[in-house]
Amino acid sequence: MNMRKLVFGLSLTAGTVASAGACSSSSSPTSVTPQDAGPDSASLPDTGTPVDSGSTTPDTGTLVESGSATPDGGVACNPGATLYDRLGGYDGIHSALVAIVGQELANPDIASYFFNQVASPVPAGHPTAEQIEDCFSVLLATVAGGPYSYPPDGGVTTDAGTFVCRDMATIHQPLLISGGSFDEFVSIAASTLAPSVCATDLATIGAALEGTKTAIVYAPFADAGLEKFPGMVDSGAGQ
Amino acid sequence: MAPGSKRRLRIAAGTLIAVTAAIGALRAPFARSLLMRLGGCPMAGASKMTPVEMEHARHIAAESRGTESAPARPALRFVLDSSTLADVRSWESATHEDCDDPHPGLVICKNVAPQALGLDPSEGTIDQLALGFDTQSRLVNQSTLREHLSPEGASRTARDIVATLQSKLGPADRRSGNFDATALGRPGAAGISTVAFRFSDYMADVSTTNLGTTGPLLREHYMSARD
Repeated sequence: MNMRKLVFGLSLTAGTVASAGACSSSSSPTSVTPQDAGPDSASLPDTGTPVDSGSTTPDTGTLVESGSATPDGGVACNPGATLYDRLGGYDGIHSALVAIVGQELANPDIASYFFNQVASPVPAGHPTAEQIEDCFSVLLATVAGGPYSYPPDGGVTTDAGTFVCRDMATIHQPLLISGGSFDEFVSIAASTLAPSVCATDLATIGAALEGTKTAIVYAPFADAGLEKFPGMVDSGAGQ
Repeated sequence: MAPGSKRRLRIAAGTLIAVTAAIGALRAPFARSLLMRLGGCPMAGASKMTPVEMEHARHIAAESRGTESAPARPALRFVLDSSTLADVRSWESATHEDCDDPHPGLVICKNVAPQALGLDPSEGTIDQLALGFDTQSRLVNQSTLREHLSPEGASRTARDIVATLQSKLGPADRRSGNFDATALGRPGAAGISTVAFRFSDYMADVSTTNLGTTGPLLREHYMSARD
């Protein structure tokens, strides 16, 4: 069995983000609890292409590299697990989201949309970066077939307090995000995942991301390219 | 209607049109910098961002830095931690590039000619160049985006960029895919290729994706990882 663990992406683990200060991130303080029920109706189809044998992987805090490396540097899929399992369960998904947020913040254009999250303190009523990571982790865990539902009952709780996760449209519509900016965001997220997630699973996640486009993109800007002035919102709005 | 009333109506209508036109003009890109100087565009939430907050975002991103210092710190046209906002202004003026300031600490240029960045014309127009500055107005972050490329063009340009970076930095720390033109021609996961270089003081990324709507898309990112 070639199952082996891989510290996700850019070695940007929850602990290292925690050292950044205001955006401390760790799955441990989060009060989200898996539900007893199995995968719900929102689950994505388990379309992983068998390449190498494997078994269900317990939550370990790392994203799972399920199989052997492919010749082009990609990752082979593990056939014996659900997408949720292949991603390393909740903790693996959370690590992935932390890495993605880190890469999005590295882009000076996209970072502008997170103006509330990099403010100190984060304005009241807006989530911290850690809370965003937790909300998205539950969302992705839900659609990947994990024992969660979105939005999680009671919200997510971090050191900064409890935040009630919102739906995609409510979060993003005030930001007047263009189709071009959405594409840039997805491109960064996909590139961050690519070295650690097999192509088939990446396609599944990508399709799920693309499925949120109409809720996230401001309709009049759907066909617009990248916004010259990212994060255009009415004062006080935004995520 | 009395002549006086007609006159007042014409004046009111003319005033309304003039005010509407003025508001419209102030929302045009060329007037945004004026609004910023006058106290901020009321529509631009991004104007809330300060260089301090930009630096906060960069420091979070830099948590994925490596452990060794970079043998070189390549960036396009400018020098990280050295080039200043004034240098960029001079370049913008000299090359007549179309740049704006969404908020302090960020300059975004559209449709940049490759020659303006010292690149070969065959690399194609850069749809967006984003430049981030620290609190001392020194360049610390740079990203480019090219959209709607041909698969062959995206493959050739990406491979050239990666080869140049590898010649200066050594092997990439992480990679996926090989920027193959055939794969880039297919929307979806197959078109994703990426390389990442990670040093204690420098980070660089090159990636391609094909999201269907964008066609092959090529991104470059060069960032100082110094505190």
